[in-house]
Amino acid sequence: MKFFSLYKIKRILSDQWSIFVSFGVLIVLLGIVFIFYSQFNRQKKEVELLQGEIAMLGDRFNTLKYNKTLTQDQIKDYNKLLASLIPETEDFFSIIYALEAISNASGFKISDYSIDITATTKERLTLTANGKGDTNAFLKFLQEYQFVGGRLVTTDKIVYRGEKNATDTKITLNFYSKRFSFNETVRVPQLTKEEIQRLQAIKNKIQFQFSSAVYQSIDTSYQPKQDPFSKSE
Amino acid sequence: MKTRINLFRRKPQQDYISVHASQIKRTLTTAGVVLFLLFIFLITQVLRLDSQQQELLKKKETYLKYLMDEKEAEVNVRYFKSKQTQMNAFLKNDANFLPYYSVLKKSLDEGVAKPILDTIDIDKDRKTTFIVRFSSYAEMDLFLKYIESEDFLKNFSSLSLQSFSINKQTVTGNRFELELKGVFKELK
Repeated sequence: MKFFSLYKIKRILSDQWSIFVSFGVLIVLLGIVFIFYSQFNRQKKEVELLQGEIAMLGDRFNTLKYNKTLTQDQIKDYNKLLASLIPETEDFFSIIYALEAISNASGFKISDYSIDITATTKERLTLTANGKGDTNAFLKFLQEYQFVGGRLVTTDKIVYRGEKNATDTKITLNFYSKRFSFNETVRVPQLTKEEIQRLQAIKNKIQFQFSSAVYQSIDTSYQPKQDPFSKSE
Repeated sequence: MKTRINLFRRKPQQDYISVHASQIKRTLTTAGVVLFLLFIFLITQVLRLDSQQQELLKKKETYLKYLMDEKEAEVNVRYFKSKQTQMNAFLKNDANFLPYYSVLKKSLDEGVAKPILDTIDIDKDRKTTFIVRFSSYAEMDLFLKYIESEDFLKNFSSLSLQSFSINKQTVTGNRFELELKGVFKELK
């Protein structure tokens, strides 16, 4: 026995055509909804990604605007000062100049010095210096030595021989040099008023001609490589 | 008995679709309405997202243009911050001699005995060794009492007497020597 005869199918189709048409329309509608749903999802992801990018760019934009207002376009001068305090590579002439400048500014005479090879590292050059001067000169030296020579100087240890024996003061002096590495992925830092004021105070301390400083504005007109491993690009 | 067949009589519908036609139509209509509403919702969302995307792209373009124009300024800020961070890190290595020296000098001057500060050594960990000299034993005795007082000890986290000596070659002047060793309390 035939379960579905052709006659029966034809009769169902002719009697219930509206159901079949509705079903067809429903399938088409379902397809359209699915297409729009996937487009909605894709667009939502794109907008979210874009919002993240905008937030990052907006942050860079605002920070840069704020920094520009804060430094009043004097940032190049501050950078020259910082490049002088911590040069990119070690410069022995500036060390000699700094020692001379510290002596002159404080009246505390650095009579001789030697490089301490064991304490010296790639970023730090350590000198052991002997100084002469009365208590006032020594105190002035202590107030000034960090910046007055135009180089950043720190001291690990001072052995001061007191008021009665002002000729025998032993000081360990550290001079620093370090390269600046540009990393665009790191968030642009926001400067603070305190930082600028501090640097301005250091700048006022130093009797230093910036024209002689090595600092030059960083060249940003480089062409990024498409393939970082290719030699010809 | 004769059996008669009435050819005009319609047979009852037996197929499922015909039996449940009205129910199927109702379900299909409901599903259609729901899908249509979903379609309307999705199309408005897509249009909204599209305008939002256009707006964000414009904003991105503005930001990028500014950042490209101010690229040098941005590099300068990064350089500034990098060097300043280096400077602050290096300054942590400093012994910071002056404030600790001043504290000690002030404490010595506040006592009844006025010793001569002969030698002082301070390192970056605030460890100190200092030698004080006296002209008489009585003065030194007074000083020993003073260094045990809270006024003197408040500046040190530890302090101990290392040595005591008499310079016999010096007939006059500061013959008595005390060597003290300790660690300064960190100044705020």
